[in-house]
Amino acid sequence: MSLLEITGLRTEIATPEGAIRPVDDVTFSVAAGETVGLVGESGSGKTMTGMSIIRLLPAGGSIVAGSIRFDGVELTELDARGMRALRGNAIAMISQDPMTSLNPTRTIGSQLREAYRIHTGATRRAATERAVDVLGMVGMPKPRERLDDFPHHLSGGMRQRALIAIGLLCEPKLLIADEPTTALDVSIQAQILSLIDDLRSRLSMAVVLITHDMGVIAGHADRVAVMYGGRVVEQADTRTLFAQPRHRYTEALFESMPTLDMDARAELATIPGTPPTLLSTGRGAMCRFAPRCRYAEQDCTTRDPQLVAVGAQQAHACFHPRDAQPIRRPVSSVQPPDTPTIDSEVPLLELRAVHKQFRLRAARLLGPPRLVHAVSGVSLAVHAGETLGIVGESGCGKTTIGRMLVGLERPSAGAVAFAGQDLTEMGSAEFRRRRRDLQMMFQDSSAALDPRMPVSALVAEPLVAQRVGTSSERGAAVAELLTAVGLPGDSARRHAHEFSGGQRQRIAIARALALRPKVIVADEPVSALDVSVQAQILNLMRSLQQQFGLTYVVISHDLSLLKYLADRIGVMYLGRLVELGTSDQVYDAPRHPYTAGLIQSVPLPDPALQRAKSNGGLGGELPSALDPPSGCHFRTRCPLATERCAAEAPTLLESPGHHAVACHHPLTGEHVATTADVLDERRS
Amino acid sequence: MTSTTTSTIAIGPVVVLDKPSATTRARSVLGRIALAVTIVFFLVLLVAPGLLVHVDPIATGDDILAAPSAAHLFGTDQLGRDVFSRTIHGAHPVLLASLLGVLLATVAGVALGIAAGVAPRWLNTVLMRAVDVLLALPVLLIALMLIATAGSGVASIVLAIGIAFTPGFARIVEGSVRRLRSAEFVQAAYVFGSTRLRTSVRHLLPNLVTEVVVLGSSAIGWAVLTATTLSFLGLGVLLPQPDWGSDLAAGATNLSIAWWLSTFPGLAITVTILLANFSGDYLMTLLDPRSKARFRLFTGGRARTGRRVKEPVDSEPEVA
Repeated sequence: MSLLEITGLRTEIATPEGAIRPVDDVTFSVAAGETVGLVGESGSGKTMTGMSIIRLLPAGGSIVAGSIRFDGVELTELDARGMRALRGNAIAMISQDPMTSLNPTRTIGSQLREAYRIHTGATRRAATERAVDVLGMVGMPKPRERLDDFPHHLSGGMRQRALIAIGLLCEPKLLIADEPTTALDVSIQAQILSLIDDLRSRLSMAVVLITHDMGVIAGHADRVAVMYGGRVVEQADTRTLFAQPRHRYTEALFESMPTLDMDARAELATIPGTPPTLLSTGRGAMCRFAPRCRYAEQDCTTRDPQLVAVGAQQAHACFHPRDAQPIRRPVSSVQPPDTPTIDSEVPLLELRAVHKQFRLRAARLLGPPRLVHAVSGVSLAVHAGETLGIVGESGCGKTTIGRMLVGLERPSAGAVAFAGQDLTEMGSAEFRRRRRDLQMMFQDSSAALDPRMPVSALVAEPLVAQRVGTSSERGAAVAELLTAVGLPGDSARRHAHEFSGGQRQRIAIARALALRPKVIVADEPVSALDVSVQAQILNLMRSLQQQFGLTYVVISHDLSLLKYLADRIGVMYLGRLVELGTSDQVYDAPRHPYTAGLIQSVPLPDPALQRAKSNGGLGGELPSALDPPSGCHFRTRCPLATERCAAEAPTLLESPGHHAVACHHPLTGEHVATTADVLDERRS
Repeated sequence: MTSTTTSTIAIGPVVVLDKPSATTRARSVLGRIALAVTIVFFLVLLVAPGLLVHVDPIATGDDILAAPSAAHLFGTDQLGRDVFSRTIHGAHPVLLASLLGVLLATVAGVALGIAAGVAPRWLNTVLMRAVDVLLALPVLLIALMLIATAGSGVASIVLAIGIAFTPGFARIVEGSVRRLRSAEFVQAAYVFGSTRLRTSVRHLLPNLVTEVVVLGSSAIGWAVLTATTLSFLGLGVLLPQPDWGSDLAAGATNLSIAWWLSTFPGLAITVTILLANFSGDYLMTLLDPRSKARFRLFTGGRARTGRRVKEPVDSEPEVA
């Protein structure tokens, strides 16, 4: 008898445009003490399934069919009062963004007390004690002092801990975690996920883990339900699913993920098209994945596949499933591009000991202004034709570096040079012309494209601004660019908001290419996209690099992505470059303890590997850039730190036979090779 | 809870059905009617009130304080003047003063707001503190000072409304400009070498249009109220010229025996303000680039009112 049993759940939301059905005939169950992962792309209905369980649906939403049995009680028949008694009591939910889920005007303590007293009617004093207990349980340092803090006093990771604490106050039997770590850095993500694991076994609760990240699932779920278009398309225990996925969608999802162990020269497999919108589902009987499926046949578009059990542990809804065999990455038929010959003598773009400080308003009235040291003393050379990756946690200054490279920020000290010329010393007119060679791709393509302009004007804008060509020449250039990035011919007349996220990123690429730049700085180019679409964009970026002879600087928090895309990688920590080497060097033999810890923290989409990983992830959190630690900035989180690290800041140095690292006690490759070792074994 | 719910629905691209539901269609029809009625009504009242009424609003008659009847739709006043005619003709000074006043305030406010928004920090501080001072002055005080120096009349009211409403526009426009300045598409424009002026005209202004139009239309409502208040206090049009505000004041003394004297000018004021606000709401949806029902008013493209934007899904290129 499972704790939670969902059968044929169907949820509809009435909108002005008509009813949409985000959850359509979903069936799964969760046993006590078990973690079930719900995985899927945006619009797959995974969040709405979670919301349906606790019946916190958006306005107009209602459960129209099916049953949800929780601990012997039929939830769909419960009235609002009965549901309220369950929420936060027997069933708790933690959501993606702890900043918006906590009330910014009230202290952590009062929010914890409120949640506890609603259900138990305990005294204020008892509630306070309970709050301290629970905060301690979720690993919050000095829990009693935290009670009087407001949410904005806490870091992102600590806020998520506070939110989990609120969920755990009444010792729920079921915890629904909706993308609990998506907004957090990898090192913090690893901490929070192992916290949830730990709490689950201590409190023997059941967890529904909703995520888009297969790596998270691999390490933390016992069973998985893969959702697509409001349906569960495949269900299995985690090992079986990762070893031999049967549904074609699951297969395609695995293939399109860049992982640490894949061959960087091969092209990523892609799923054509875009994820289904909620609305395009529920239109007649057909497999929802059929329009994007390589193996779709006649019957896929005329009949609705039902979940079929195969073996004891697995069920899939596919007419043409994969054979039960381990997944193999397709070897790309595309000839791997020749590694461009890198002329390392003259760097194309160069940072020379740049510093950047931002002024903050003084903490006290009439006090001295506070300085945030976003970047302190970074020297970096980008060579023509290469892809340089910059990786680091949020707040490490990687975005500021990118903005300085394209001249959006001026360094407080130091220089940015393009082809030997110092950009900071140029006159404004000359600098504006120089900008032709330096373009940028922004993280959020919907924010980076003016909503009031049609695509033709958006793509032609750089040409207009730089007064290049006549209007008809520009029109021809736009058509050519749109074809190059793979957009249909009629896109020119439409507006950016009419496109999907992946298509918008294509428009942004077309615009960045309009001036035929030499360097494109891409700030988190695919982090806003679904995995399947991400692969399309990455492949496109690669082929354009060949076609236009581009040099990329790719800024990302995603190590697997950079491993795949970049030739060289720079690792940043709190405004400093701590390690720089080719991507193989950095991944296979990290020399800085920080890099090693980051690699350890990346969730791998492989259950065996993920669980075998020693708990060598990063502890602690990024210190404030307002008041960085003395000496080596990383020493506060470093297991190898000595007194010398506090006294003396290490400089970025190459040693014979090793790539550059800024560390007094660099790793020699024996300390942390667990992941790399296992990967090597598997490869051979 | 509302914020969470809206964000959860907005997964993926905007969802659009082939058939609009009855409520949205009704709302858009209502909005369009309100806009059309407002424009026609305002135009007729401003340019040719004679089309609606043939009785001279100033001509006195023997029929004193007559109740509404077929001969006098809205009745007559103490001097036997036709209230219907006075109400129709009384629109002229009110509408003229408020429309011109708001226009003045819009132009001045937007210019000031953009200037302050893109200016360096010290200039921004100077401009915005000046705006704050202006904002602290009551409209009536500004009007009284103007009337004392320039004399009463429509011109003074226009100027008073203009000055009084400018800081409101400037404040909001300045805030939006500062927000837009850090928007990624504005940053992107700098990356490909767009100058400051070009960026302001091509990116800042168009993205301010919606806000300014909505602000302007609600300001018209307020301006009508201000203009009638001023003439209610005897600071507007000189008697015996018809004006809603002064007629309202004149009728107030006889309200117990002749309800129609103040009621009809008062109703006229209410209806005008409502029409202005409804049209503003509709204009807002019309000007939003993400809205489904929109004219391409300013870009000169083909009109697409009421036609639904097609889902992008079908045309996603199948590129590998």
